[in-house]
Amino acid sequence: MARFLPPEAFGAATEAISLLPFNLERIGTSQYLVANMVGDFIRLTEDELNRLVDLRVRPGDGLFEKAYAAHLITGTNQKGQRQLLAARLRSRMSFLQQTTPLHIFVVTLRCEHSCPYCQVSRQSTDRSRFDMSEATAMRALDIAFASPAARIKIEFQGGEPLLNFPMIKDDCRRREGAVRQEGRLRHRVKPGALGRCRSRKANNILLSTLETSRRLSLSHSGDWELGCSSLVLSDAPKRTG
Amino acid sequence: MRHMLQAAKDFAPSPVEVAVDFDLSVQSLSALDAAAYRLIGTATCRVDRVGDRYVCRLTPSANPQKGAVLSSDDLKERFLNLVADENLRARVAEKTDGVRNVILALAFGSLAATQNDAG
Repeated sequence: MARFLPPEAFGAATEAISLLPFNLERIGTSQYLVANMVGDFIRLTEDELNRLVDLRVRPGDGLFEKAYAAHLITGTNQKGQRQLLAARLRSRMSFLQQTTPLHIFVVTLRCEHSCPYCQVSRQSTDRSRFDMSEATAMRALDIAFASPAARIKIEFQGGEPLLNFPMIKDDCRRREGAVRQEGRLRHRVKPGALGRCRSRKANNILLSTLETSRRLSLSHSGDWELGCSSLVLSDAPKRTG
Repeated sequence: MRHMLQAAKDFAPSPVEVAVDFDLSVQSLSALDAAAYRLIGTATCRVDRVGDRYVCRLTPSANPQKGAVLSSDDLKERFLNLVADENLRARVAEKTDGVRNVILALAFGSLAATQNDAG
Protein backbone atom coordinates (compact mmCIF):
# COMPACT_ATOMS: atom_id res chain seq x y z
CA MET A 1 0.00 0.00 0.00
CA ALA A 2 1.38 3.40 -1.03
CA ARG A 3 2.16 5.81 1.79
CA PHE A 4 3.14 9.44 1.91
CA LEU A 5 6.76 10.11 2.65
CA PRO A 6 7.51 11.72 6.01
CA PRO A 7 7.33 15.56 6.08
CA GLU A 8 11.13 15.87 6.18
CA ALA A 9 11.30 14.41 2.70
CA PHE A 10 9.51 17.45 1.29
CA GLY A 11 11.80 20.01 2.83
CA ALA A 12 14.82 21.67 1.30
CA ALA A 13 17.04 20.96 4.27
CA THR A 14 19.93 19.86 2.17
CA GLU A 15 20.14 23.13 0.23
CA ALA A 16 22.50 25.77 1.52
CA ILE A 17 20.82 28.99 2.51
CA SER A 18 22.18 32.50 2.56
CA LEU A 19 21.14 35.86 3.90
CA LEU A 20 19.52 38.56 1.82
CA PRO A 21 20.20 42.20 2.71
CA PHE A 22 18.07 43.59 5.52
CA ASN A 23 18.01 46.32 8.10
CA LEU A 24 17.10 46.06 11.74
CA GLU A 25 15.85 48.34 14.46
CA ARG A 26 15.47 47.62 18.15
CA ILE A 27 11.87 48.27 19.20
CA GLY A 28 11.95 47.16 22.82
CA THR A 29 13.57 44.78 25.19
CA SER A 30 14.87 41.93 23.06
CA GLN A 31 12.52 42.83 20.19
CA TYR A 32 13.56 43.90 16.71
CA LEU A 33 11.89 45.15 13.58
CA VAL A 34 13.63 43.55 10.61
CA ALA A 35 12.99 44.98 7.14
CA ASN A 36 14.09 43.66 3.76
CA MET A 37 15.37 45.75 0.84
CA VAL A 38 11.90 46.84 -0.25
CA GLY A 39 10.54 47.63 3.19
CA ASP A 40 8.61 44.47 4.09
CA PHE A 41 9.17 43.86 7.77
CA ILE A 42 8.66 41.30 10.49
CA ARG A 43 9.20 41.34 14.23
CA LEU A 44 11.82 39.03 15.69
CA THR A 45 13.11 38.38 19.15
CA GLU A 46 16.78 38.94 19.83
CA ASP A 47 17.33 35.18 19.90
CA GLU A 48 15.55 34.73 16.56
CA LEU A 49 17.57 37.53 15.01
CA ASN A 50 20.85 36.01 16.16
CA ARG A 51 19.78 32.61 14.83
CA LEU A 52 18.90 34.22 11.53
CA VAL A 53 22.20 36.07 11.15
CA ASP A 54 24.10 32.90 12.02
CA LEU A 55 21.86 30.95 9.63
CA ARG A 56 20.87 28.55 12.38
CA VAL A 57 17.48 28.01 10.77
CA ARG A 58 16.01 24.98 9.08
CA PRO A 59 12.80 24.31 7.21
CA GLY A 60 10.05 23.44 9.61
CA ASP A 61 11.35 25.40 12.57
CA GLY A 62 8.99 28.32 11.97
CA LEU A 63 11.70 30.94 11.79
CA PHE A 64 12.89 29.64 8.43
CA GLU A 65 9.43 30.02 6.91
CA LYS A 66 9.00 33.45 8.50
CA ALA A 67 12.34 34.72 7.21
CA TYR A 68 11.91 33.12 3.79
CA ALA A 69 8.49 34.70 3.29
CA ALA A 70 9.92 38.09 4.26
CA HIS A 71 12.80 37.71 1.76
CA LEU A 72 15.46 37.72 4.46
CA ILE A 73 16.98 34.39 3.42
CA THR A 74 17.11 32.44 0.21
CA GLY A 75 18.49 29.25 -1.16
CA THR A 76 22.04 29.94 -2.24
CA ASN A 77 21.34 28.64 -5.73
CA GLN A 78 17.92 30.18 -6.10
CA LYS A 79 17.56 33.17 -8.41
CA GLY A 80 13.86 33.80 -7.98
CA GLN A 81 13.98 35.84 -4.79
CA ARG A 82 16.82 38.01 -5.99
CA GLN A 83 14.94 38.72 -9.21
CA LEU A 84 11.73 39.40 -7.32
CA LEU A 85 13.45 41.85 -4.98
CA ALA A 86 15.11 43.55 -7.95
CA ALA A 87 11.80 43.89 -9.78
CA ARG A 88 10.09 45.35 -6.73
CA LEU A 89 13.01 47.68 -6.07
CA ARG A 90 12.95 48.87 -9.66
CA SER A 91 9.21 49.59 -9.46
CA ARG A 92 9.54 51.35 -6.15
CA MET A 93 12.38 53.54 -7.36
CA SER A 94 11.03 54.11 -10.87
CA PHE A 95 10.81 57.82 -10.16
CA LEU A 96 14.62 57.90 -10.33
CA GLN A 97 14.55 57.09 -14.02
CA GLN A 98 12.99 60.40 -14.93
CA THR A 99 13.61 63.87 -13.63
CA THR A 100 10.82 65.24 -11.56
CA PRO A 101 7.90 66.84 -13.40
CA LEU A 102 6.93 68.81 -10.28
CA HIS A 103 8.65 72.08 -9.39
CA ILE A 104 7.53 73.90 -6.27
CA PHE A 105 8.05 77.65 -6.13
CA VAL A 106 7.71 79.24 -2.71
CA VAL A 107 6.93 82.71 -4.02
CA THR A 108 6.55 84.27 -0.60
CA LEU A 109 6.85 83.39 3.06
CA ARG A 110 4.31 86.02 3.98
CA CYS A 111 0.87 85.03 5.19
CA GLU A 112 -1.83 87.05 6.84
CA HIS A 113 -3.22 84.11 8.81
CA SER A 114 -2.18 81.99 11.77
CA CYS A 115 -4.02 78.78 11.06
CA PRO A 116 -3.41 76.32 13.90
CA TYR A 117 -2.98 73.32 11.59
CA CYS A 118 -0.40 74.94 9.34
CA GLN A 119 3.19 73.78 9.67
CA VAL A 120 4.69 76.38 7.35
CA SER A 121 6.78 79.17 8.76
CA ARG A 122 5.10 82.53 8.42
CA GLN A 123 6.23 86.12 8.07
CA SER A 124 3.90 89.05 8.06
CA THR A 125 5.87 91.99 6.81
CA ASP A 126 8.85 93.04 4.74
CA ARG A 127 7.91 92.12 1.25
CA SER A 128 11.44 92.64 -0.02
CA ARG A 129 12.89 90.07 2.34
CA PHE A 130 10.27 87.37 2.17
CA ASP A 131 9.04 87.46 -1.43
CA MET A 132 10.86 85.60 -4.18
CA SER A 133 12.77 88.03 -6.35
CA GLU A 134 12.20 88.22 -10.07
CA ALA A 135 15.76 87.12 -10.75
CA THR A 136 15.31 84.05 -8.58
CA ALA A 137 12.01 83.25 -10.22
CA MET A 138 13.47 83.49 -13.72
CA ARG A 139 16.42 81.31 -12.77
CA ALA A 140 14.10 78.76 -11.17
CA LEU A 141 11.94 78.69 -14.28
CA ASP A 142 15.01 78.11 -16.43
CA ILE A 143 15.89 75.12 -14.28
CA ALA A 144 12.36 73.78 -14.39
CA PHE A 145 12.16 74.04 -18.16
CA ALA A 146 15.55 72.42 -18.58
CA SER A 147 13.85 69.25 -17.37
CA PRO A 148 13.30 66.68 -20.10
CA ALA A 149 10.09 65.54 -18.39
CA ALA A 150 7.16 65.03 -20.75
CA ARG A 151 4.96 67.18 -18.54
CA ILE A 152 6.01 69.94 -16.21
CA LYS A 153 3.95 71.05 -13.27
CA ILE A 154 4.81 74.23 -11.45
CA GLU A 155 3.27 74.62 -8.04
CA PHE A 156 3.23 78.00 -6.31
CA GLN A 157 3.35 77.75 -2.55
CA GLY A 158 3.97 79.96 0.44
CA GLY A 159 3.21 81.40 2.88
CA GLU A 160 0.14 82.52 1.08
CA PRO A 161 1.28 82.46 -2.55
CA LEU A 162 -1.56 84.72 -3.60
CA LEU A 163 0.08 87.57 -1.70
CA ASN A 164 2.70 87.55 -4.44
CA PHE A 165 0.20 87.01 -7.20
CA PRO A 166 1.82 89.47 -9.63
CA MET A 167 4.82 87.19 -9.77
CA ILE A 168 2.66 84.14 -10.39
CA LYS A 169 0.89 85.93 -13.22
CA ASP A 170 4.20 87.12 -14.60
CA ASP A 171 5.72 83.64 -14.45
CA CYS A 172 2.75 82.12 -16.18
CA ARG A 173 2.61 84.79 -18.86
CA ARG A 174 6.31 84.81 -19.67
CA ARG A 175 6.82 81.11 -19.88
CA GLU A 176 3.51 79.71 -20.89
CA GLY A 177 3.77 81.09 -24.39
CA ALA A 178 7.21 79.65 -24.85
CA VAL A 179 6.16 76.12 -24.05
CA ARG A 180 2.53 76.15 -25.06
CA GLN A 181 3.32 74.33 -28.27
CA GLU A 182 5.00 71.57 -26.35
CA GLY A 183 1.84 71.14 -24.32
CA ARG A 184 3.74 70.10 -21.25
CA LEU A 185 3.07 72.93 -18.82
CA ARG A 186 0.62 72.95 -15.97
CA HIS A 187 0.44 75.49 -13.18
CA ARG A 188 -1.04 74.92 -9.80
CA VAL A 189 -1.57 77.37 -6.97
CA LYS A 190 -1.70 76.02 -3.47
CA PRO A 191 -3.28 78.57 -1.17
CA GLY A 192 -1.87 78.55 2.29
CA ALA A 193 -5.12 78.92 4.14
CA LEU A 194 -8.52 77.29 4.12
CA GLY A 195 -11.08 79.28 2.17
CA ARG A 196 -12.94 79.99 5.35
CA CYS A 197 -10.28 82.33 6.62
CA ARG A 198 -8.88 83.50 3.31
CA SER A 199 -9.02 87.22 2.75
CA ARG A 200 -11.49 88.83 0.37
CA LYS A 201 -8.60 90.00 -1.77
CA ALA A 202 -7.24 86.48 -2.10
CA ASN A 203 -10.72 85.17 -2.85
CA ASN A 204 -11.11 87.68 -5.65
CA ILE A 205 -7.78 86.67 -7.11
CA LEU A 206 -8.74 83.03 -7.01
CA LEU A 207 -12.13 83.74 -8.50
CA SER A 208 -10.76 85.65 -11.47
CA THR A 209 -7.98 83.13 -11.97
CA LEU A 210 -10.25 80.12 -12.02
CA GLU A 211 -12.61 81.81 -14.43
CA THR A 212 -9.97 82.89 -16.91
CA SER A 213 -7.27 80.26 -16.91
CA ARG A 214 -7.55 76.73 -18.08
CA ARG A 215 -3.96 76.07 -17.27
CA LEU A 216 -4.10 77.00 -13.62
CA SER A 217 -5.58 74.62 -11.09
CA LEU A 218 -6.28 75.08 -7.43
CA SER A 219 -4.84 72.63 -4.96
CA HIS A 220 -6.95 72.77 -1.88
CA SER A 221 -6.37 71.35 1.58
CA GLY A 222 -9.25 70.92 3.97
CA ASP A 223 -12.93 70.62 3.28
CA TRP A 224 -13.73 71.43 -0.36
CA GLU A 225 -17.30 72.63 0.12
CA LEU A 226 -16.26 74.76 3.08
CA GLY A 227 -13.53 76.36 1.02
CA CYS A 228 -15.80 76.97 -1.95
CA SER A 229 -18.51 78.49 0.21
CA SER A 230 -16.17 81.25 1.24
CA LEU A 231 -15.06 81.88 -2.33
CA VAL A 232 -18.47 83.52 -2.84
CA LEU A 233 -18.83 81.80 -6.18
CA SER A 234 -22.22 81.44 -7.73
CA ASP A 235 -21.13 78.09 -9.13
CA ALA A 236 -18.41 76.29 -7.21
CA PRO A 237 -15.56 74.97 -9.34
CA LYS A 238 -15.85 71.32 -10.17
CA ARG A 239 -13.61 69.15 -8.14
CA THR A 240 -11.19 67.30 -10.34
CA GLY A 241 -9.04 65.53 -7.84
CA MET B 1 58.87 58.10 25.75
CA ARG B 2 55.53 58.03 24.03
CA HIS B 3 53.16 60.79 25.07
CA MET B 4 49.52 60.13 25.69
CA LEU B 5 47.08 61.89 23.41
CA GLN B 6 45.92 65.25 24.66
CA ALA B 7 42.29 64.24 24.53
CA ALA B 8 42.96 61.25 26.74
CA LYS B 9 44.49 63.06 29.72
CA ASP B 10 41.21 63.59 31.51
CA PHE B 11 40.45 59.91 31.88
CA ALA B 12 38.57 60.08 35.17
CA PRO B 13 34.89 60.69 34.45
CA SER B 14 33.10 63.64 35.99
CA PRO B 15 30.25 62.81 38.38
CA VAL B 16 27.65 63.05 35.63
CA GLU B 17 29.76 61.35 33.00
CA VAL B 18 29.83 57.67 32.12
CA ALA B 19 32.95 56.18 30.58
CA VAL B 20 32.79 53.01 28.53
CA ASP B 21 35.87 51.58 26.88
CA PHE B 22 36.37 49.08 24.08
CA ASP B 23 39.32 47.12 22.77
CA LEU B 24 40.07 48.70 19.40
CA SER B 25 41.26 45.36 18.00
CA VAL B 26 37.69 44.01 18.16
CA GLN B 27 35.53 47.13 18.05
CA SER B 28 35.21 49.36 14.99
CA LEU B 29 35.21 53.12 15.35
CA SER B 30 32.42 53.46 12.78
CA ALA B 31 30.04 51.46 14.98
CA LEU B 32 30.88 53.69 17.95
CA ASP B 33 30.28 56.78 15.80
CA ALA B 34 26.94 55.46 14.63
CA ALA B 35 25.89 54.61 18.18
CA ALA B 36 26.98 58.06 19.35
CA TYR B 37 24.89 59.63 16.58
CA ARG B 38 21.82 57.74 17.73
CA LEU B 39 22.32 59.12 21.24
CA ILE B 40 21.82 62.69 20.04
CA GLY B 41 19.03 64.28 22.00
CA THR B 42 19.58 61.88 24.89
CA ALA B 43 23.25 62.28 25.62
CA THR B 44 26.51 63.39 24.11
CA CYS B 45 29.36 61.02 23.45
CA ARG B 46 33.03 61.81 23.03
CA VAL B 47 35.24 59.06 21.68
CA ASP B 48 38.95 59.14 22.46
CA ARG B 49 41.63 56.67 21.59
CA VAL B 50 43.73 55.79 24.63
CA GLY B 51 46.43 53.28 23.90
CA ASP B 52 44.77 50.19 22.50
CA ARG B 53 41.29 51.19 23.64
CA TYR B 54 38.49 53.48 22.58
CA VAL B 55 37.11 55.41 25.54
CA CYS B 56 33.57 56.73 25.10
CA ARG B 57 32.55 59.44 27.54
CA LEU B 58 28.79 59.78 27.78
CA THR B 59 27.12 62.83 29.26
CA PRO B 60 23.33 62.83 29.65
CA SER B 61 21.52 65.80 28.11
CA ALA B 62 20.16 68.17 30.71
CA ASN B 63 17.02 68.62 28.61
CA PRO B 64 16.52 65.42 26.61
CA GLN B 65 14.34 65.69 23.53
CA LYS B 66 12.40 62.61 24.55
CA GLY B 67 11.81 61.06 27.95
CA ALA B 68 13.47 61.78 31.24
CA VAL B 69 17.16 62.27 31.94
CA LEU B 70 18.78 58.84 31.96
CA SER B 71 20.62 57.55 34.96
CA SER B 72 24.23 56.51 34.51
CA ASP B 73 23.35 52.82 34.43
CA ASP B 74 20.51 53.33 31.95
CA LEU B 75 22.69 55.48 29.72
CA LYS B 76 25.45 52.90 29.71
CA GLU B 77 22.99 50.13 28.90
CA ARG B 78 21.43 52.19 26.09
CA PHE B 79 24.83 52.91 24.59
CA LEU B 80 25.99 49.31 24.80
CA ASN B 81 22.77 48.17 23.14
CA LEU B 82 23.27 50.70 20.36
CA VAL B 83 26.84 49.57 19.81
CA ALA B 84 25.73 45.93 19.77
CA ASP B 85 23.08 46.74 17.19
CA GLU B 86 25.59 48.60 15.04
CA ASN B 87 27.97 45.67 15.21
CA LEU B 88 25.14 43.37 14.14
CA ARG B 89 24.29 45.67 11.22
CA ALA B 90 27.94 45.58 10.17
CA ARG B 91 27.92 41.77 10.29
CA VAL B 92 24.77 41.59 8.17
CA ALA B 93 26.18 44.10 5.69
CA GLU B 94 29.40 42.16 5.41
CA LYS B 95 27.53 38.92 4.75
CA THR B 96 25.12 40.42 2.24
CA ASP B 97 27.15 43.00 0.33
CA GLY B 98 27.64 40.69 -2.63
CA VAL B 99 24.00 39.76 -3.08
CA ARG B 100 22.97 43.37 -2.49
CA ASN B 101 25.11 44.41 -5.44
CA VAL B 102 23.60 41.65 -7.57
CA ILE B 103 20.07 42.80 -6.71
CA LEU B 104 20.94 46.44 -7.41
CA ALA B 105 22.49 45.45 -10.73
CA LEU B 106 19.40 43.45 -11.64
CA ALA B 107 17.21 46.40 -10.71
CA PHE B 108 19.12 49.31 -12.20
CA GLY B 109 22.26 48.18 -14.00
CA SER B 110 22.90 46.85 -17.45
CA LEU B 111 21.59 43.50 -16.24
CA ALA B 112 18.16 45.07 -15.84
CA ALA B 113 17.57 45.06 -19.58
CA THR B 114 18.47 41.42 -19.97
CA GLN B 115 17.20 39.94 -16.75
CA ASN B 116 14.21 38.39 -18.47
CA ASP B 117 16.64 36.17 -20.27
CA ALA B 118 18.17 34.99 -17.02
CA GLY B 119 17.36 31.47 -16.03
